[in-house]
Amino acid sequence: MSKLLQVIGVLAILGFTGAGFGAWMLTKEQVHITVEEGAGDRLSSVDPTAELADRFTALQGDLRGLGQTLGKNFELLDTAAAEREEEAASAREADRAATRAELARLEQSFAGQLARALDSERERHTAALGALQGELAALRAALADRAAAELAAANAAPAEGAPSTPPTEERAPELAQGTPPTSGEASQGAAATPPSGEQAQPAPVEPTPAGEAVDPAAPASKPRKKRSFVAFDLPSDSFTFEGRRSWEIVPSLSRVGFDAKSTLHDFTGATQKVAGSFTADLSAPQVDPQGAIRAEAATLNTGLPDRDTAMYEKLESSKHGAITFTVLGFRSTSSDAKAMKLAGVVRGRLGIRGVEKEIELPVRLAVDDARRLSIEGELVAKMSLWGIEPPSQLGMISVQDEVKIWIALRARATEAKQ
Amino acid sequence: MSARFSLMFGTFLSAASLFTSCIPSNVVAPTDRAVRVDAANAVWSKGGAADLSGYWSSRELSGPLASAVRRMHYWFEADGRFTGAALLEGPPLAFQVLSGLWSFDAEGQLLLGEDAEPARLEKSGEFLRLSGSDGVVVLEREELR
Repeated sequence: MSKLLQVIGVLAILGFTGAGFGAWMLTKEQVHITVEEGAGDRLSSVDPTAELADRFTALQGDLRGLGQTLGKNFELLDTAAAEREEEAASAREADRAATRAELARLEQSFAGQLARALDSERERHTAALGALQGELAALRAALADRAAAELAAANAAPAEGAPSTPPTEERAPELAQGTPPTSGEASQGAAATPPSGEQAQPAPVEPTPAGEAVDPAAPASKPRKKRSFVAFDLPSDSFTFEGRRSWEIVPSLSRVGFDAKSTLHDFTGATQKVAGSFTADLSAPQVDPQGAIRAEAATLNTGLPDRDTAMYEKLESSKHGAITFTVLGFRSTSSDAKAMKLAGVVRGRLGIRGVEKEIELPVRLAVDDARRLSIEGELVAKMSLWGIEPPSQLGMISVQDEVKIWIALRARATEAKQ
Repeated sequence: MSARFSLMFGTFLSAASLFTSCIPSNVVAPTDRAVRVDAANAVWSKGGAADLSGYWSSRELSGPLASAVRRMHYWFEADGRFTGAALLEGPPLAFQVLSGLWSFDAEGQLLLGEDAEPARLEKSGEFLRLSGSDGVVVLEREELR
């Protein structure tokens, strides 16, 4: 049965296929299919050339319009620029005119002030000159009177056989110059300035019995300059507070030290074995100060030999013999150039026991009348900062870690620096 | 117990105070830190011709002359002669030497040469002090070897 159905199916398929083939054969002569290019363009009936021409014409119109607009705008811009230029030129001209007017006014004012000042100065000088001329006339008259009196006295003296009139106080310097060297006169050696060459002029009148010749009219009435009481010719003092110069510590007048507190009592350790130098401008000490100072650690003296020995051990003075201070900078807090004093804070590296630590030391500086610079200052510091263990005896007698380090130096200027 | 502790503590304090009082404080006062010359504390009396003889060197100079002079040396003879040398400020440092005769004026002031200003002369042990308008010079007697 199933096979029968399969045969029937196959026969049906074959039948349908054959029927379709037969139908295609019958109709194939009447069916023609043609495919043409640009079939879609038949939908638009506009001519592209005409459209292009139209568009070109429109563009030409636009361009013409744009050109006209641009031309107008450029004209406007040109006009505005010209107007601005004119405005600026007129403003400059106005400024120039104002400046000229101001200059003319200042010139006039200055000329007036100058004229007034010159007139005032001329009047002052004229008055002073008048006074001087008056004084000169009086002096001349007095001198003439005195010469006449002395002449009369000199003429009268031989007749009386008596010594000359004792010199007045005014004459004393003149007579001293005319006097030959006496037992009190000093003569200077090779490096010294020879004695003044001022000698009294031979007198036109007869000499006095003492042989003292005096010309009343000679300018020798000027008193002879006295030497210093130490008899040396002292150079003038050229020291000035301003200017960079080098200073050298004077050890014999300097001391550095420390104050310490202990369980038993407080004590000071100090030494004068200090040396060094520095360079600075005292009127501007903050400008590149340079220098270094060193003290011999093994010469610090506290007054007790045993304590000194222990201190030297703590300081390792046999290994690090010097306590050093190197100047790094200076900050001025006050300055009085007239009094030659200043104060400030010196910054530097303090080296103790081979260990250097930067510190700031407040100091006061002053130039004394011997032109030596005294430097005093102090700061509180902990000795442990330099790795020094505070000394202690049996845990009962101990020194505090904090000590007061101080300096009292005097330095002398060695040379001025440019 | 408490009484015993108080007794011990009191004894300790007494001993400590006795011990500490044996070693006085030797802290230098800030005003005494600067070095002063020995002559600063000397007691001065008027000097005369008898005090001059010998060799003297300056120990301290003060006043305006100290800015010009570093050191001075004098040799005074009893017969009135003297010679001196001063190391003057430079640069360079230079010696100035002189010699002459010393005398005293009517007021008892020392004259080192006729044209020098008179100086007040004072003495104190081995020191002489000359004072004048230019300052003060403290001289210390030295032995010539």
